[in-house]
Amino acid sequence: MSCLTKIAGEVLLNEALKMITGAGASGTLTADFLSVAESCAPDGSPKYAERPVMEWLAKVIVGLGGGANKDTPLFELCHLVHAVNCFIDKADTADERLTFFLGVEKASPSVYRDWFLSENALSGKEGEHITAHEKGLNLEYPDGIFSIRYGRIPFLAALHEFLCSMDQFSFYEQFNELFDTLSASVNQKCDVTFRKIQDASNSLSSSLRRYRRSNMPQAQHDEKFDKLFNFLKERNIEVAKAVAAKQGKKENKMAAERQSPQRLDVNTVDDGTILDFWLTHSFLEEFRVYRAVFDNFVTLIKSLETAEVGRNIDHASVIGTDREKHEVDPDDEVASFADYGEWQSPLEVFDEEPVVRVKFFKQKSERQPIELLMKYGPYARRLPLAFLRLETFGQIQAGISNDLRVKRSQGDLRDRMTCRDAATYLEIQAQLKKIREHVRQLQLAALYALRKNKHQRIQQEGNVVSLFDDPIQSEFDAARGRNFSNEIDEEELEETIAEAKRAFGSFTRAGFSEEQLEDEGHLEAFRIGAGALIEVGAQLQNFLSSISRVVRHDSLLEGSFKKDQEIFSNQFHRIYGVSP
Amino acid sequence: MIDFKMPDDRELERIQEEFSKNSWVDILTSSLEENRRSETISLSTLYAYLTSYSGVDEALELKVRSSPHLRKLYRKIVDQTAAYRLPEAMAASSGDYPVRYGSGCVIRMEASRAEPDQIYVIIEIKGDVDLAPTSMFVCEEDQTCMRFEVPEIKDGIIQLIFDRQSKLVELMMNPKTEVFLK
Amino acid sequence: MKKFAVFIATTGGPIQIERLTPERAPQSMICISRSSKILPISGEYDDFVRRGSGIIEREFGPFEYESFRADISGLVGTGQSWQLPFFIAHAIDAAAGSELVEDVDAADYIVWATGRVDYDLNILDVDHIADKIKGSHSLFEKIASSQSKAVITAPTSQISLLDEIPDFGENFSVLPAESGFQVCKDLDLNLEPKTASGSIKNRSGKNSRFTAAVVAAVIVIAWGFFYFAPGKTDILVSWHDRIFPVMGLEPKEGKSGNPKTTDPPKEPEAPEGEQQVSPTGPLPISPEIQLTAFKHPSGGSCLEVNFDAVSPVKHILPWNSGGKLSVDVLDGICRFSFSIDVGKKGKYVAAWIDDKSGRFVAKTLSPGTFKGLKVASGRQSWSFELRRKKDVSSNRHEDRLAVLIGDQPVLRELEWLRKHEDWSRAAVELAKKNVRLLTIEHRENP
Repeated sequence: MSCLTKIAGEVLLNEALKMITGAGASGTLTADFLSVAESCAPDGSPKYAERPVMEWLAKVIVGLGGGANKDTPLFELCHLVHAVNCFIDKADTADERLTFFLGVEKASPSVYRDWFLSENALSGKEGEHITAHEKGLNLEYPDGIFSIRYGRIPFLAALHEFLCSMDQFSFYEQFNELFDTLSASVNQKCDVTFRKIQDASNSLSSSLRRYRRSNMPQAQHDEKFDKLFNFLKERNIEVAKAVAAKQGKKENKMAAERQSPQRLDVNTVDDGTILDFWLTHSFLEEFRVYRAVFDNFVTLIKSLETAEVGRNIDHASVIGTDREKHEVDPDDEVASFADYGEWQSPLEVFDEEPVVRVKFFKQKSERQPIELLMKYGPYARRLPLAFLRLETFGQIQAGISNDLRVKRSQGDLRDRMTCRDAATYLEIQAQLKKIREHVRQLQLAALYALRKNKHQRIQQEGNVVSLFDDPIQSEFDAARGRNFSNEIDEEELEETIAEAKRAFGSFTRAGFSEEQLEDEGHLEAFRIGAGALIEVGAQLQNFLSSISRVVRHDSLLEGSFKKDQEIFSNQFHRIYGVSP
Repeated sequence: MIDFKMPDDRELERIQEEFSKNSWVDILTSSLEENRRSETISLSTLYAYLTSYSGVDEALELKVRSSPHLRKLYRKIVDQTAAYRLPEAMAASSGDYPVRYGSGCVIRMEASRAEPDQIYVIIEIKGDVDLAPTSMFVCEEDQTCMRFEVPEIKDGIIQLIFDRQSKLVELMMNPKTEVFLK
Repeated sequence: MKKFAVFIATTGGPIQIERLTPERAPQSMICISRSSKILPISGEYDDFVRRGSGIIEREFGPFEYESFRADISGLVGTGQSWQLPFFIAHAIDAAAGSELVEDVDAADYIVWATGRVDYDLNILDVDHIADKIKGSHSLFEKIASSQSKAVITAPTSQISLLDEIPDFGENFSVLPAESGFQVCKDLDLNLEPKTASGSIKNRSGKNSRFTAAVVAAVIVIAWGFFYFAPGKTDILVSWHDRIFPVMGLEPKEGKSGNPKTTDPPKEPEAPEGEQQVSPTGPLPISPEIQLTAFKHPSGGSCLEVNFDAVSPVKHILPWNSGGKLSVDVLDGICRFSFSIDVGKKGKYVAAWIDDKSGRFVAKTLSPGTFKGLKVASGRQSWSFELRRKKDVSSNRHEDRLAVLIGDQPVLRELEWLRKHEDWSRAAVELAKKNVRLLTIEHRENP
């Protein structure tokens, strides 16, 4: 058996093992999570949106979600259950509650809103301690108040389903009995208190902790962590040594410094770190793929941030919501949650209603090239070369894995491993610049759309509003929930407005017609999209700037690519046992 | 480039914990991207299956039968959503076959004259045939239920024919089983 | 015992009707060869068997058991061309001296059939006859090399399509099927009452049943053709439900068979196109209308009469005073014949029974003449069968007969009438088109 075949066989086997065991992950955890993800509407589409609902659920399950208190989602769920129980108001509350959570085909805010509002009308819940209004629910307890927006309910429904399903439904009866206690009493007076809700959520939390202990062994990732962290430490020592050597410091003094508590206390993760780690560790199965290494370092960095060590990364703006107060929240938007200012791709907004009505991006030529960049956001910006390597050579490596899977010929493999077809850094840069310009045009078009509607409303309402009271930029800021006005030059404003009109007219794709701007839902799409476009534009600009900072000239960028091309090509040959 | 302060041991422990959690999140979210299939069934999937008219899914039924919790849930949902419930048959029923009575519904059995080893199962719906059932669930004492599709109702009657050795006949002959129609 | 094997012609090859078994189940079903696999057309078969919607029980019943289970050798798809073969199979099953067999080699006759059968037992066209013939070549070859006789039957209007069948010799005969009765007759089926595979109760046509039925009946004949104003559907004839001696009383007949009248008041003839309001109640009769009762002979049965196994005894019903026809002898009456003289010039005549009770059948109905598409001249007759069972249900339905007469084809008007319950109003509408409406209502005399 040739080396290639042997290694290829190992790769396939490992892939299979990954599928079964989840790369060492708990089979139960993954199975329970996936079973919720697999719930489908009758048309085959997922009941719970992959982004952001399932991603949020993943965080809650592992104990990352919830903000300052990771049990907050459980607390919210208990409030929701109480609200549902009160609205049902029937003898078979548990059964009807099951229908509420499971009978919905597609977990969307509008479905839940309609349910509560219709139940409200039927049961005459006005004036009682729970009221349903257009945006959400208000719950008044003797000892506190709470609100739940409809946009939140899809997340909570997914959480409910996971909790009831986990570990082969072994918690189902227990949770159902717990939820039954969160009902209004027979005489309709609310004897459920805030405290009672908290107690119920504590009970859920306790069960979830037990589940985590059984199904999420931390040790599983400790080895990986150790490798990454130790590498950083040793590298730091090497770097310090080199610096010290340049500075002429003596070895013994350095040793003393190393051993002191106040040792060299700043570590660096840079483009070189990631590449070097991969080069030295790719013989290990878990670090074979460059993308996996990049991801692991990003995870490590996130963890460092979370532990509040070396926070010098700019906060990335969060699209959708960052806290309930700041959200741009049309009725039907499924809210997304980010904790600790965690970065979320602004592109997710474009997949949701109502923004999806407007074709802001063509999939292949405009969205796909920036998908990864938006996913990694500030991490890509801080590690531009590492990211460029991911963009281009990561794809090559994915192709190699696929070639092995489908058993392509050695010749094809060798050809791919030369990285001849890898997109160059200059090409990627050029493409990003082009998309940046496209995003700018979209921003102008959105401005036109929002402004036009505003003027129409003004004309209809007969109000006179000075342009200077509401400058262009604040249109976007209003959409983002920040309202501040800047001084703006009148002439420049006129020019910008004209440009905005031209930009809008230049788009012949879906959603960019004057007639559609009469529709409030359509305008809402532009309002939300406008905010996301700013983030996308900012991200693009920042990344392009960071490339320029690292590699000041295009020729240097090209040189950098050629060097990396050789490195990656050689490493691929080494990893996959194919001679060049 | 990202700089960070070297953590002490306590902080390192914390970072390790966070790293583990983040890694778990990566694993779960990447499982979505890989389009992997779960070995188990979600509550929503089970609920949709039992409340829809999609026919019998043998694979799902098998999964349910292998899990006591799922069996219990299955029966609970069937009971909750059934249009007709026919509890245990009368022990002292006339004839060779138990007759079951439910509100608005009667199920009886008759042997075929043509093929004595075949049994007619005759479901008579007496009430509002807007609720004409399309599925029949027969549940044993251990919560195991089996689903059978029934043909279209005609003049208030649904008629099926089964071999005497079939599972349905075996279940129906046991007066302790419960029948649900939906 | 004549042994028949019956095949349904399908494009996928001939499918044998292996067995018909009465069952205690409420619905008739078709299964594949003794298995529990039920065919999707079972619902339609149940309708075909069931009285009210179908013809089998009406023609060959009543049966002791509720339904039939038919076992056939293969799948039969959608469509209704299976009806004729099943009708034949049931007729064979019901007839004395014949039986349906599964073993083709043991059969004296092998019937290959395709056709639809309507409620009046007319055999109607079907599709894909050529493909069905093609699919049955092996069967034909097998029959040709055997001792059995083959009867190939299809709707009369499509009989030329059977020319595609190669000449397999004198054992092969082609039977154009026009009506169920005719097919049974041509197959020489002896439809005497017998205890068939499920005992058939009371098929001897006991007199008491018919008498009771007739006693409960009052037939009112309305005629508005010559004497009544346009737009009026009037009662021509009625008779009372009196009980008469069974035998010996002959109806009084006029010289030429015309009813006797007792100075019926004469209505002035309505001027052309002018409406005339006629009084309600029975009105003077016309010699152009004749009602004849067909009785079975002593010892016989209505089944035999209706299937032409025996010749009926005819009684022209006499007219009573007051413009009423009364029936002196109702006992043993199997069917009535209504005839009308439309004159030498000829008219288009359409006749239809609004059969709500499920107990009427039309016989000797010439499709051409009585569907309003052909000109009828002179005296034309049409007969229908009286119900055999007394209907004492609280929601018994009224049967009605309508006859439309016009100078132009009246088929379209007939179709229109089928959708309208109120015949009085219908008559008004039809009169506007110069179509006369005559009705016969079958109801109990209060």
